[in-house]
Amino acid sequence: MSMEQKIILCIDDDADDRSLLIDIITNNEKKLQVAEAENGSIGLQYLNEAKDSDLLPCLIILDINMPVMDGRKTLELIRRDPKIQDIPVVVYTSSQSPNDHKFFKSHGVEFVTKPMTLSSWKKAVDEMLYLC
Amino acid sequence: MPIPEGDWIEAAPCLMFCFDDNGVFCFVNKTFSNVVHFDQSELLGLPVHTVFPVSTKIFYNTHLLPLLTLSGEANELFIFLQTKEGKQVPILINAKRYPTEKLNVCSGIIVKQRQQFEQELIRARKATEQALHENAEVVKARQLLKEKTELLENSLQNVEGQNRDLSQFYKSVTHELQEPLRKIFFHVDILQRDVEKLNIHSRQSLQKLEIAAEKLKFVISGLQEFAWLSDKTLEYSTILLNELLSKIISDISAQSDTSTYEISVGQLPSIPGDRQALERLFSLLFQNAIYSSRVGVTNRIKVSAVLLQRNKFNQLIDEYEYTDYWRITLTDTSNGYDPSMISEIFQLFPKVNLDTAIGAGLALCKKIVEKHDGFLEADSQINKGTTIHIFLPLMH
Repeated sequence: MSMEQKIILCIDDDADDRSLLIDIITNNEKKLQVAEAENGSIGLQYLNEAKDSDLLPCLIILDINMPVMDGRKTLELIRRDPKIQDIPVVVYTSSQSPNDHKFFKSHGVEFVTKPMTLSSWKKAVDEMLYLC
Repeated sequence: MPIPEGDWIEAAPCLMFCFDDNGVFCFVNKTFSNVVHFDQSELLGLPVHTVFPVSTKIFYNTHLLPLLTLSGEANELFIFLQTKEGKQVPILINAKRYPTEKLNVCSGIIVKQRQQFEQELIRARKATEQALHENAEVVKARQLLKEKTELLENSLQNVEGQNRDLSQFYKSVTHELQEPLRKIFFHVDILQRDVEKLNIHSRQSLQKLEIAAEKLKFVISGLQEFAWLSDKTLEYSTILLNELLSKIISDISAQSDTSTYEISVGQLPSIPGDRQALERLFSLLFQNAIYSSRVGVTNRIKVSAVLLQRNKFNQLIDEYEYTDYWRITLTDTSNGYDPSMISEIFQLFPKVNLDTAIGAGLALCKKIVEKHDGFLEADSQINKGTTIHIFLPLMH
């Protein structure tokens, strides 16, 4: 994988949030690409197809509450697959539930609550990109 | 030793005696003689009354003789003989009259154990009656238990249904409301960036939108915490209340104007509880008291504890079991609440005083205490202050 082709996979059912993430990430100086998926199942499908190519992401930004397959199940399946289990995952969610927080922390995953302002979003995303 | 033939009657293990129609002995066997301690020869020719006590003399005249005369026989009669020394011996006799010979022949056995058997019969009858009575009680209790079990099953089914509804409601509160709220804030933030491009009316609307969003955020965060507490599984340990309260007071002092209030804490016990939940409980109670401080009056907040007994059944009528509770009391000299509204202060977002917004705080306190199998009581007077009693069970 060349440095210029780094990809971040955003798995989030909220189209507004996905486009905001794409906006912020693509405007970042690191010149990253973004792949998007509207639920965990589509995200895993992308990852399965990417395994054999050079398109595996350097970071997965994962929402929790999604239709079809939620963030918990998605993370469990990612961690079970040796080819993708080491990709860093950040949970980026509206949830402030202590139970959600506890669950993802126990899996060694960063848990970030989506902020309320644009400037805070930029800061939060910049922090995540350090993992890439 | 072999008994010579012909002496069978003498040696038989029963008493045999004969008397004539005048009531005079004409024969007694050896066994009889041994029982009454008279020689056989001594008794012959003497009246039978010689060996009868008074009761048997009367019985002889009123029952035995008439029966023998009229029926020719009398069976299973219980009488007493009297020994030479005056001691009474109970015997059971059968008697037969031979009219031609004008003789009455009697045979009897000693029934010393009769009274004992009778007593045992009486005891057995009483025990049977008691058992029947107890059985009736058991049947009644079992019926009552069955009714209560059915009632409990119904209640559990209702609770189960309500829990499912609540769980869905909590999910809605924690996510479905949070999501649009975040977007409202986000777009208010975007609009604020270009605020100078808006006219005065639009600016005012934007400001009102922001205030409404803040209020919504306050309500949602209260509901969220309420939902989390409801779902929370308590992790019990022994909590040193004095130590816990010192930490809370130190945290609160760092974040508030300490000139408006004074907190004094008495000797408090160690109690079983969830540290995180109890820390939240006392933080909320202190915050609530401080928030209600009267302007220009130092709010004196005191905490004390006493051990007492209360009925552990709060919901079931006519059920009593007094158990030990710690009553931890917080008194303050705050604004207070209208006493007629006191029952409402532990509800979510009550409107108790026009100038006081409690929010979810005291409802959260009630939830925490109830999760610890305890309960809350409150007293209040406007401009005097509020007293809140927390009852927590001594044992978990």
